[in-house]
Amino acid sequence: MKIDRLFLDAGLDRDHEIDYLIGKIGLDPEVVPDSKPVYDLINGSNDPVSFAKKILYITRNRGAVVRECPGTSHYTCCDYTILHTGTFCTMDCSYCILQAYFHPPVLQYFAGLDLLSQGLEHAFSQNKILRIGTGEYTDSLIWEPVSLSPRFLVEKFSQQDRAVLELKTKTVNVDSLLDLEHRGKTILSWSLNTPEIIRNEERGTAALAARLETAKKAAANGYKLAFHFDPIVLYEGCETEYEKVVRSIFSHVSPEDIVWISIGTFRFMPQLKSVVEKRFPDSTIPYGEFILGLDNKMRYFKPLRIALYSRLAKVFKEIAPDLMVYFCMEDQEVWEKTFGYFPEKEGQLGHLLDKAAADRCGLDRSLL
Amino acid sequence: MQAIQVSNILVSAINLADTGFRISRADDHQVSALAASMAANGMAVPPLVAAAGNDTYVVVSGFKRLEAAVLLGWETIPCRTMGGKKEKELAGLAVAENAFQRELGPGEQVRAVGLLARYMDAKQISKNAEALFNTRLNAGYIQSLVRINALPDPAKALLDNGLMSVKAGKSLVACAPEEAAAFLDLFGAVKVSSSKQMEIITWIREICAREKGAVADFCRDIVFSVPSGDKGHKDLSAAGNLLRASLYRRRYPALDHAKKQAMDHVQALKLPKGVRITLPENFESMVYSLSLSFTNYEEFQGRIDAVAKLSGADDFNVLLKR
Repeated sequence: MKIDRLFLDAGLDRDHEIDYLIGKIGLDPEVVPDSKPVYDLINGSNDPVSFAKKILYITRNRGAVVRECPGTSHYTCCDYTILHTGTFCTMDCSYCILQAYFHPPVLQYFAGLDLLSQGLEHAFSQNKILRIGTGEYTDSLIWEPVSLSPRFLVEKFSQQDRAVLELKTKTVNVDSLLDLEHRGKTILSWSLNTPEIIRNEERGTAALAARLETAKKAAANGYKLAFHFDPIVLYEGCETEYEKVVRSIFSHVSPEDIVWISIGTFRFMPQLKSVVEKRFPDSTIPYGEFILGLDNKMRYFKPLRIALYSRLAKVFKEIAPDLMVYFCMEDQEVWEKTFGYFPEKEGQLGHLLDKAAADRCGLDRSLL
Repeated sequence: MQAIQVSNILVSAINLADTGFRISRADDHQVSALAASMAANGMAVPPLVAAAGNDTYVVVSGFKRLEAAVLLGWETIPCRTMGGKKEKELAGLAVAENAFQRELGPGEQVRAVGLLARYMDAKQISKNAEALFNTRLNAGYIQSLVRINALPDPAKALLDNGLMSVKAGKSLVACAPEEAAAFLDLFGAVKVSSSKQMEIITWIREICAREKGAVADFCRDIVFSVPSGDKGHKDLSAAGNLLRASLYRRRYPALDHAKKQAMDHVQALKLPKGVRITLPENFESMVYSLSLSFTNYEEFQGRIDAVAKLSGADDFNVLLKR
C-alpha cells in the first residue's frame, strides 16, 4: 500500500484513531470541506481507478453503519450483514467489481470507532445471530497496519455472543490481531484462488502460500477461519489447480478450525468488461463462456459452473465431510447437482451458516 | 453573394482524375443510366467546377454528370463556375451540393468529413453542420468519421455498399493497421447487419485473446473459409450467417453444443404445427415453456393430445433432465 495524497474531512474531530492513522501513513492531510475536491481530483485523472488507489480520504460514514447485504435476485442469498467501514481497495484485482461499482471509486476510510460501537450495540441487541463482515465494499484488513479499527472490532465482538465478525482479506495483515482476546467471535477469512490467477489477476495481493501460512498462524492463536473461493475463474486445467488449493488448505489448517467455505464462479455486471479490457489488456478473464444471468450479471454457462463445483465438492466431502461449504449466489439446480440438496426456504442458507457460526464460535445457540 | 456563371466548357479541359472534392461513390451503372437520361432529356443542373489555371478545371460537384458526358462523347458541357473561391469554401460547396440533394450515405458522410477536416476541426464542422450537411452532427461523431476516413481501402467502399456500418468502422479505428485491414477484407466477403458485424468483431477478438492468436491471421484464415452460396455465386448474406455461426461455435462451444443437443431432442418429439416448446434462455433458468395455438376446437383437441403424449416420450424426459 502506498498512499500519495491524504485528504481529511474538515467535519471530523481529530481523535486518537485519526491521529494514529495519519501518523502511520506519514503524510500531511489536506483538509477538505467535503468529498467534492477528492471526487473532482479522481475524476480528472485519465485512469480514475488506478489513481484512486493512491488517494485516501478519511471521512465519516454518513449512511447506515450496519446494513443487510443486498444479495441478488433469483439466486440464493446467505443473509449476511455488512459493517460499512470504508470503500474501495489498495490492491488491484482485474475482476474486482468495485472498479465499476463506484463512480468514481474513492478510497474512503470511515473514522469513528464510536459510530461503529453504536451500530454494533444496536445489532447485538437483536434477538438473533448475526454474521457481520467488513469485506463487502473493501478488503477488511488493508488498513490493519495503520489503523486501530480492526483490533477495536475484534475486542468489541469478543464481549458478546450473538454475532461473529468476519474479516475477509487477500492480505497477510493480522499482526495486531493475533494476541488479542478474541474469544472466538472473530473469523479471519481469506479469499483464495489458484497461484496462476493470483499472479495474473490479483495485483498487490499476498501469494497463496502466504495467505495460508497466515491462516495457520491465526488458527494457532485460536482464531476460527473461513475461506472463499470467489471468484473461481475457469481456464484450461483450472479444475486440478483449484483442487490443489483446496487440498493445501487442509495441509495448513484442520477442518475444525474452519467455520465455512464459500465457492462461487466469476460473475460480473456487464459494464465491468470494458473496464477490465482497458485496465488489464492482457487479462482473458472476460472472455470465458459467459451468459447473461437472471440477475443481469454475466455468469459462466451453468453446466461449466456445475462441473467445476462438483469436482471441488467431491474433494471437500473426502477431506472435510462435516464442513459447511456453500454457494454465494447460486440457484436450486446448481445446489442440487453439486451438493444433492437445496436450502429452499427463505433464510434456510442463512440459518445453516448461523448454526455453523454458533457451533464453531460459541454463539448463543438458543437464538438459532 | 458570389455570382454563379454558367458557361460551356470543353470536357477535355476538366480534370476528372482529380477527385479531391468527390463525395459520392463511383458507380458505373448509375453513370450509364444517367447518360441515357442526359441523352434523352438533356442535363437540368450543370456540374459545379472550379478553375485550376491554364484554362483547366477541377470538379466540385457533378462527377457522375461529367462521367456521363464523357460516355456520351460530348465535347462541351454546360458548367457552373464560381470565381475567387478558396479551397475551404469549395470543399463546403462540394458537401452541401450533395447533402442538400439527398441524405448522404455512410461512405459519403465519411468522405465529406474527411474533405472538410483538411480545413477545419471537428468542432468547427459540427458548428456548421446544418449548413453543410442539412442536419446536425455532434463533434464526437464527426471525430469518429474522421478516423474512419483514415482506415485503409476498402473501408469507404464497404460503407457505400452497406457491408460495414459506421459503428463497426468506429470499432476498427482503434485496431492496429494490419488488424483493421484484415477485418475489412472479412467484411468484404459477407453481408450481415450492423449488430452482427459488432458480434463478429467482438467474437474474433475474444477468441484470439483466449487462444493467444493474432487477429489478422485469424481473419485471413477465416476469410478463405467463408463459404459460397448454394447457387454457385457468392451469396454474401448466407456466407455472413455461416461465418457468424462458426464463430459462435468457437466462442461459446459448450453453450452451442447444449443448444444443438436440446434442439435435436425437441425435433425428435415431432411436435405438430401449433405446439411449440421454448427452451430456457441460455439454460440459466429452469423454466421451459410450451405454447399452443389453434383456430378451432378440433385443432385444440389434437394439440392437447400431442402435448399429453409428451410425458411418455424419452426425448422429452432427456430434454428436461439436461
